[in-house]
Amino acid sequence: MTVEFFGMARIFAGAPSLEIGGECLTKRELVRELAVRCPAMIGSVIDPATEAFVNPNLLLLDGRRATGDDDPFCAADRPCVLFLASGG
Amino acid sequence: MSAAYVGPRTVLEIDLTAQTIRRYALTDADFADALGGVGIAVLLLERYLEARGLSAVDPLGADNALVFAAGPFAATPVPAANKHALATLSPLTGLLNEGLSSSHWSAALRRCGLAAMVVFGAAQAWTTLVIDGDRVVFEDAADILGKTPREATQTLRRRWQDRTLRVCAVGSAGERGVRFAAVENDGRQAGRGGTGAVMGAKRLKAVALRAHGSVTIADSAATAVLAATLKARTLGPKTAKYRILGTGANMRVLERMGQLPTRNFGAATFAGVEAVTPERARESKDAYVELRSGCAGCPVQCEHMYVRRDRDRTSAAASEYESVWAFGPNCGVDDLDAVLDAIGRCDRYGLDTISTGSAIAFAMECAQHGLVPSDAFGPPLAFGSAAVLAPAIDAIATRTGWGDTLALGVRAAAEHIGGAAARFAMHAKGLELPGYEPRALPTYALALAVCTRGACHNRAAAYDSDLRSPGIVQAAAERAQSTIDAEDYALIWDSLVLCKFIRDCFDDFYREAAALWTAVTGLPIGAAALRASAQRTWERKRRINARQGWTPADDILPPRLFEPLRDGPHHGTTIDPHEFARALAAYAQMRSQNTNAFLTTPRRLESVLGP
Repeated sequence: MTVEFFGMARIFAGAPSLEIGGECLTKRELVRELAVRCPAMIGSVIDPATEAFVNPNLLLLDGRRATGDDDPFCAADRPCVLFLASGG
Repeated sequence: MSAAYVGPRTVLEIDLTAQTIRRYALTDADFADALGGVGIAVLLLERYLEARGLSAVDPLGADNALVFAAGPFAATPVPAANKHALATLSPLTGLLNEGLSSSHWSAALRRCGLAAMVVFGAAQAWTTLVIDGDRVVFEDAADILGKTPREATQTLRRRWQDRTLRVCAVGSAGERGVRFAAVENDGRQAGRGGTGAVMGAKRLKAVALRAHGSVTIADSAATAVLAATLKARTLGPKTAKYRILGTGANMRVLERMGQLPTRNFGAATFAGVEAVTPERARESKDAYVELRSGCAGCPVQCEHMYVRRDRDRTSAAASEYESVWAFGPNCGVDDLDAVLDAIGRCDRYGLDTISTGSAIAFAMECAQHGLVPSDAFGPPLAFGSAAVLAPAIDAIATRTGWGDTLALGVRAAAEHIGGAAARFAMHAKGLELPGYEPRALPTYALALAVCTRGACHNRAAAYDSDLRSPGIVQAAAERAQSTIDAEDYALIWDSLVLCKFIRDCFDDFYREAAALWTAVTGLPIGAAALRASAQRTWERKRRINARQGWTPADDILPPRLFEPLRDGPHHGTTIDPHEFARALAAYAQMRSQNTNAFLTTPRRLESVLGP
């Protein structure tokens, strides 16, 4: 699957996206994978204690749909790590 | 701890026509009622109108008043709180307009011993008001006419031999009565709704403050602890986006989500987005210099300005999301240099960037349909035409040719142009829409329609609930409740006044904000009382609008938003008129139950959508 990064996640990842192969992953497994592949995200984007995203960062499927913790992300999916603090 | 309000409580009332002043004190009950900032500004504006029996006031007439009200945490250690509110009747909407600005001027207002100023009447000749401690000077402003706000500030500082003189001023757009002229201080703007035109109509070029005093805090020790905790949080990950990227980083996100209004809301995705996102400039260090700025006393310093390396750094322009959106995607322009030039140009003229960009996008669509000449400003007036931005802005600011028509705002410009132009006028109550696609954000859509100020994204920020739960469509009653919650929540922020960019820095906002208020002012308050204050202020806002002729029929959105989106992830999504009417009805019913406001009933949508 292709994980797309926006805002702070993109800075810490050092790239606009990341390819993750293999089996389908739950959101928690995906967060763990991102923490391994992009350790700079830990703290600012990923909370290692809860294995979740630091508010206001969020994972949206195709930039559109929120998912449950146990919903799988599979090969054709494009989860997006976004921040949703707006304004300006 | 004292049970009386601690801090400046004086209101300075200034009659520009008679050149007289009056001072009086707000009571403890006033502060408990309305807090500060927007709450106090709205309270004072309503009292002004009531005392004189005024209704249906011409916003550009002498009877209109302009209220400046300090945030109660300004000039204290509380971070991101040097802010003040401005309330007046808007020449764009004819209704209440309350805006905010920030930085040194806000703190100086309190350090002059003032909680607020109420300015009314109209001067015979162009005037600068100088508040010099206890003295008020009506100074001839002839020599700073035509100057940018920054130039006017420099001239006044030289004259008064005071580099710390704090000035809010209008640019030439305000002098000429452009209905979306802004008021600037310290490089910050109260941008929306045409407050600058109101100042211009009063022949008031600037208000300068010489602050000699300091501000007393009720419980300094408690305030220091609370402020330090909050400051530490504002330097953490919750504000990293603003500190490191700035609000311009919204561009890529909203485009990916299919919520980026493009070409006057004709589309929701923009192929040229990468070229105009401020992140692109940040990443192009060989081409652009990035400069940072921010408000006094704010650790976040959110403003990211960019300028080409080969250009004068004083021409650096702020890359705020709304500004870049207004001249970029909304005009179909993918030339970042042209967009930054447009923003800088607006700042020099003293123009609201959202309304200016929206007026040009509106004109582009009118030209596409033969309603405005395609050479109205020289270069092609068409979506994607970067070259037309500068001459169009110049024409608006100087009210030349078609610029004079656009200077009225899109609602009045559409009436002037006639024909199908009204279909292209993207506004609510006369205020141009900001850069979020309402069709993909249903709670935000409702909030835009009912907002007392018109299409303002900051009076409810109701997109937060949509963005955090995308794809989940609430029932009408839930959406109405979310909108009311968001309005009340925003009103507390705007009355305290705290910058909303630190809104994720509170664990329990109502409880923590109440503790801050009590420590700083000495007036005990609880979370429920904060919420009740917001409801009273909302009620006042509606009453002022009713005086001005508002009816529930005005709570509506432009017809285009009831047409399906034609691109992006939300292709086919629209605002269902029946569902929208149910949400409006639910909102009206809930507001009527929760407050003493008169019953509002939703308008019949037929007048917008056709029978």
